[in-house]
Amino acid sequence: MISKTGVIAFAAASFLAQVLAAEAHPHVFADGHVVLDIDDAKELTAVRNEWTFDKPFSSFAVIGLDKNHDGKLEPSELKPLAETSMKSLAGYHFFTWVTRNDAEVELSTPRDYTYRFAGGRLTLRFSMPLKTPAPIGDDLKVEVFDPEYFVAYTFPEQGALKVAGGASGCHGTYIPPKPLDDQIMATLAAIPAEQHDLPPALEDAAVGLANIFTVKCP
Amino acid sequence: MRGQRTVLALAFFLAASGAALAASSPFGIATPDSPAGGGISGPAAPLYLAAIRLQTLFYQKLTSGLDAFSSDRHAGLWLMALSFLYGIFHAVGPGHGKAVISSFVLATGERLRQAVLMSLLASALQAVSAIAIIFAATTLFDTTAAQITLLTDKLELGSYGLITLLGLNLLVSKGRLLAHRWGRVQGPSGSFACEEVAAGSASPGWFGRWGSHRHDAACGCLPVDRLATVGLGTSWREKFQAILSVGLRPCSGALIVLVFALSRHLALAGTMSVLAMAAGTALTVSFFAALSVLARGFLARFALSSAGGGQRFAVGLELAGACAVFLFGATMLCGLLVS
Repeated sequence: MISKTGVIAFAAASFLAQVLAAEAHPHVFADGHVVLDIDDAKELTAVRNEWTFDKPFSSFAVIGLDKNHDGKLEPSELKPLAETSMKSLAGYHFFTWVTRNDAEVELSTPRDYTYRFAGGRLTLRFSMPLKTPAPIGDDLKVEVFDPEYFVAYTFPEQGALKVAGGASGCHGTYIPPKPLDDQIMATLAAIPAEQHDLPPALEDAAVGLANIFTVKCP
Repeated sequence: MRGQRTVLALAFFLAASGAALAASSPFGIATPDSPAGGGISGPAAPLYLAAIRLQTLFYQKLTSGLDAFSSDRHAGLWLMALSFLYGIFHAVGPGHGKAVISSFVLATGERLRQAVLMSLLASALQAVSAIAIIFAATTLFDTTAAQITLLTDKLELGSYGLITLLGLNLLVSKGRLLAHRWGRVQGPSGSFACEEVAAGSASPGWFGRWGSHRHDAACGCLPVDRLATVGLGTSWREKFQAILSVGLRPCSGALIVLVFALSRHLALAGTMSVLAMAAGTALTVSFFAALSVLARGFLARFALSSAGGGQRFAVGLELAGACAVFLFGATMLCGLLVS
């Protein structure tokens, strides 16, 4: 008897605990831009990100940083914040993936990372050179997104992507994420939050959130 | 005595976390809600997803409302209404003590009113914690967001430590109760829970401090027939421990909204917003706690239909609740310490 009632009770409690254990949801909103550096050999050499954060997040991020109390945030005052962010983003793959034929192309650690503060919003810029430049082609894809949906990225329909560097006549295409449906949300939410690199089996599920950039050169 | 132990343990956890905790958000600032594993599935999933969407919607409305805040009275009321709604849906997400308070009332068999009051106090404490941290950080010290994050991470660790301790306390007391009752037949109808427990133990026993007394409304004993449905409840000391353990950690939504309000020189509006948010949070947490109280009553009716099941059921349920509190605290604590 005791075991039966005990089991019922325990099952009820663990069900409750399961229901209550919950997930991350978007906390930070960022407007993104991507610049792709392509050299004259028509190879992708670097991916440059530019993320402008929402005002509430920005105001939280900058408190206590105006060290000289002049009401302005100089690059030197924002430097420590950039260091902190880069250190943390390393655990998140910098939310940037480059693939060729669905195989990952390795990126070096970011350089030239800076924060700017204007109009109440922070903008983070950083550049990630490819370890080995990758030839441009249909099979080359750049993706920027947060698979865990902690950060919600928005790219403008027009001008989300710029092509820079020595190559001429190249033009990029931006493929926006599919609108989130419940199925994708549920699948993504099933990924433990402490797991930052997606297992290949789940990449299909997350692909719905990805902002995809491709380039064509004549 | 137990209070001292709690404080000592808390101090230990804070000291142990002195080594820089890796900030767990992508930009190294702003505390995300606690990352708990486990996916959403089952019948509640669509509701949960809807709640996430609504909280995002109200967050954006609330912050844009603060951004364009004017000093007329309607703007203030509108802001508070938005904050209240945001609080309701924000609290559906991780944290805010839903799991702990629900499991606690399952373990102790609190009545509905007590459960709701605990939820209210815990939400209020989370708001006060956020307000205290932000005002101290911005006016008294030149604190940066990274330092605030570090502080809230430590508070989170302390909170999980306290929850684990609370679960352990509950487990020990419920375990002793279970060991004592194991194999015993239900006391005759009309006897009282305190007699049942105290009888046969060499020491004065659980409720021995009352000694022999008349059973009336004030004695704290329950007729055995009612034990399964309501349980004995606990002292306010244990309730306060539960409230403190979940209230210590500031509400992450409140932190951001308050800082944003301060950056627009809207200290009053920001504070009111956070308090309205806490009211919304309290509603959600109360809902889950009430669900737990009702579930206990509902399950008890099943158990009571079989002879002798009532008390064992009560103890089994209480032990399960205690297990849930302990496992929740321990899992979260380990998750933080390992990451």
